[in-house]
Amino acid sequence: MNLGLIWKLIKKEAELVLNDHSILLVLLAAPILYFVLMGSTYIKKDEEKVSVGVVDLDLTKSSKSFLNKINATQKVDITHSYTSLSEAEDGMSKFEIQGIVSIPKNFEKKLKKNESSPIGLILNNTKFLSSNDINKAVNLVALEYAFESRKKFFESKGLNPSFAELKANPITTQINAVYNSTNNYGDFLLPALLILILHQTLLIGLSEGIASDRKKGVMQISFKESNDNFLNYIIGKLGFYLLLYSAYMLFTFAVAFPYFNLPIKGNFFALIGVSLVFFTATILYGWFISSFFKSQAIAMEIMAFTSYPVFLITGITWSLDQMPLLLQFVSKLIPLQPFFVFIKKHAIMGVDHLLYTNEIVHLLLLLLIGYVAAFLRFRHLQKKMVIKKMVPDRAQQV
Amino acid sequence: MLRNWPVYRVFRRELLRLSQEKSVRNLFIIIPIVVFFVLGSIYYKGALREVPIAVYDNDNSTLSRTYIRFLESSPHLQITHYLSSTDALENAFVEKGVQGVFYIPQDFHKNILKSVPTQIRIYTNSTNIVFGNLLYKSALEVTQTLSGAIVAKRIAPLGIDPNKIMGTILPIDINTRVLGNPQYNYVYYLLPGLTTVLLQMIIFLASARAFNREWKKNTYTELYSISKGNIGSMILGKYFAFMIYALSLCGLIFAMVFPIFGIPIYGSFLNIFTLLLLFLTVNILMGFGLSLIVKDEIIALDAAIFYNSPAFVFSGFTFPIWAMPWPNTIYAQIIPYTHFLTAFLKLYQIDTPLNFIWPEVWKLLLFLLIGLCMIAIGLFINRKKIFLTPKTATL
Repeated sequence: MNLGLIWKLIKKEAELVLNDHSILLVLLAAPILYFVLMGSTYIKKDEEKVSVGVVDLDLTKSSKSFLNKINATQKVDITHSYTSLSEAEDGMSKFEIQGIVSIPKNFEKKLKKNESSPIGLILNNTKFLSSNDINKAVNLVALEYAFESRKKFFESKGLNPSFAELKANPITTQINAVYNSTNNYGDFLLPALLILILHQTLLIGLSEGIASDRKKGVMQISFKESNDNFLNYIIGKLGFYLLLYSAYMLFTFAVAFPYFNLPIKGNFFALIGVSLVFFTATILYGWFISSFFKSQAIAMEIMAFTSYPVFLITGITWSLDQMPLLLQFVSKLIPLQPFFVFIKKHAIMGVDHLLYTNEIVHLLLLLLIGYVAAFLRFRHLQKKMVIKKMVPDRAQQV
Repeated sequence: MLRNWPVYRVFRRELLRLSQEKSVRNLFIIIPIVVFFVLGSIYYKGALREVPIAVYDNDNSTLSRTYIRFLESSPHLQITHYLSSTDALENAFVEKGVQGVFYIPQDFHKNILKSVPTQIRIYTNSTNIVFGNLLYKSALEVTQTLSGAIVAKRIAPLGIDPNKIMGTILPIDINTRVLGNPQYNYVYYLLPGLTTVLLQMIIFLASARAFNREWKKNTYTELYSISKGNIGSMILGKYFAFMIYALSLCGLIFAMVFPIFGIPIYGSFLNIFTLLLLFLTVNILMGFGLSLIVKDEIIALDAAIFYNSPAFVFSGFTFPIWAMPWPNTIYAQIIPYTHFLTAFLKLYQIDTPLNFIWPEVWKLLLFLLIGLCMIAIGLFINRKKIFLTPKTATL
């Protein structure tokens, strides 16, 4: 390994990136812009005031009070009032509202008579988040009425109000949403999204650079410049990307995470260390895959379309063991998968280091696989180039 | 006669040109087949069932065991671990791989008999809100059912009309009707959104190279002469060829991906097809515009990727637009997918009449106009490259 040579190659790669507008855009502008655009999207972390329409056919004090209680919940906002159910359904079909609460006639009468009063709840389930929030809010208000009604019954039987309250609600539940106290969307998605932005821009930029090298025949020159030594070449070629993304990584954990109120409960230096392993593995994988491309445009197109599957296959939104076995296997081969699990355990949950050792070992194993794959590919390309060079030489001799 | 019509000549040439482009083969065949089926397979089970939970029964009484039986009977929960100490609670999520922990306190049964308030504590692993929400719902359901049963037992001997027991315990009975994906199926929910956003990306990216690639490969002169120097014919011919490719992609989505993953289409196919035609036209024309404005195809691709990549996040599909800060809501509005998605969901899942999607159609028509303006700007900026002099055209 020749450090002087490596430094020369790193500088050369930096020049290449600076002179290529497209790679420059992907590596320098895109991460920052996406951080701002995507990150700020979830800055409020959760939705509030989901619009709901009501059809109140009872028009009594009780029905109004019930609707007011629903309206007072944090996530629901009664924005439309309709005179008939069909009118309300039209409103929902136009997506003016996400749900309908319909109160039939005699609602109050039945309540007063201690008869069960049915109400209608229609949900637009084309988007799960809003539908779930409306459902939860309406059910919690109905539950409040249930406690009140039970309490009143016991009081009517001569029990004092506090004892009646105890009788009315024998089992209470305390649900603790651990590691995301409000169960909000932002805390759930943002850590993974920020890392995905870095991962994808890195892969797209790197693949463009490598494809451009292959197309212009620069790869052959780079091999020569590195004295045909794999370590010289790979560190020199990829060192620039590692340095750049190490800076982004520091920015992510030291600036973006605190800015979006995302926790880093574990040791910061351990996080940086493991992140370096992750980025090194990703860069080696990236070089290996990109070395098959000869067109910058094709490399970009293919890498751009990997964003959704790569993100979703890691099991960040859906349990990994609910996926087909083949996908589970493929997922385990992507460095992003153990890294997401590590981030979850280390930064968000803050568990003991012994509990994320598996993920570190997994990442190191993938780093080794990436290294071996890149090495074999390097040797293969080297041989191919030698043969190519020999064929015209022989032809000349003939 | 048709053979001499410049539009047809360009159309035929474009079909052939596209079929020979490696990039087009990747975009229209390999990427969609691989990506659509991978995405569908991720969610192939549809709904989360039997989420693993742990129970720590610190009471070990008849009632606590009844509560555990209630948990076991829930279709969403599966008790995989029984804990025996509070120490285990802390790391149960990681060590046992459970998504929730139910803690039944000591004297649970005794306290209920004595009318002392008792509380079941539930810990959900909310690093994933899908599990968090499901556990919240199931935990509340199970606990309220048992709580209601205990209250019923308490009030029955106190002299109550049997017909009024239900009305006292649960005075408001909610009859829920769910429209659009009543099965709460994740494939039905996510796959249509993901495939259509990728449809937009593919069409936009491919058409963003429609003209600049001709300049790069020095084939523009040939195109110019085939179209007899008529720019309108050139654009129309290319448009029809791209539309054929785009429709074949729609065929893959709606005739293969949807049936394979059992995704139901509730609305009229004709209405959906009309909407798709408009959506595809918008993307083709905007892509053409970009291709005419930006001479460097790689930079055009960069711009296309940058513009399209966040389309899904900004569409309001998984996180509503109204919960975003206002600059982001504006960005959401300037992506055609946002409007297409709303109209698409209305048609295919809710089966609304066509007139209910007019607001979105108008917005898409505005994008169509923007696409045409982009083309006009491109024609003006690069007029020297586009409108060839007879001498150059012959060369």
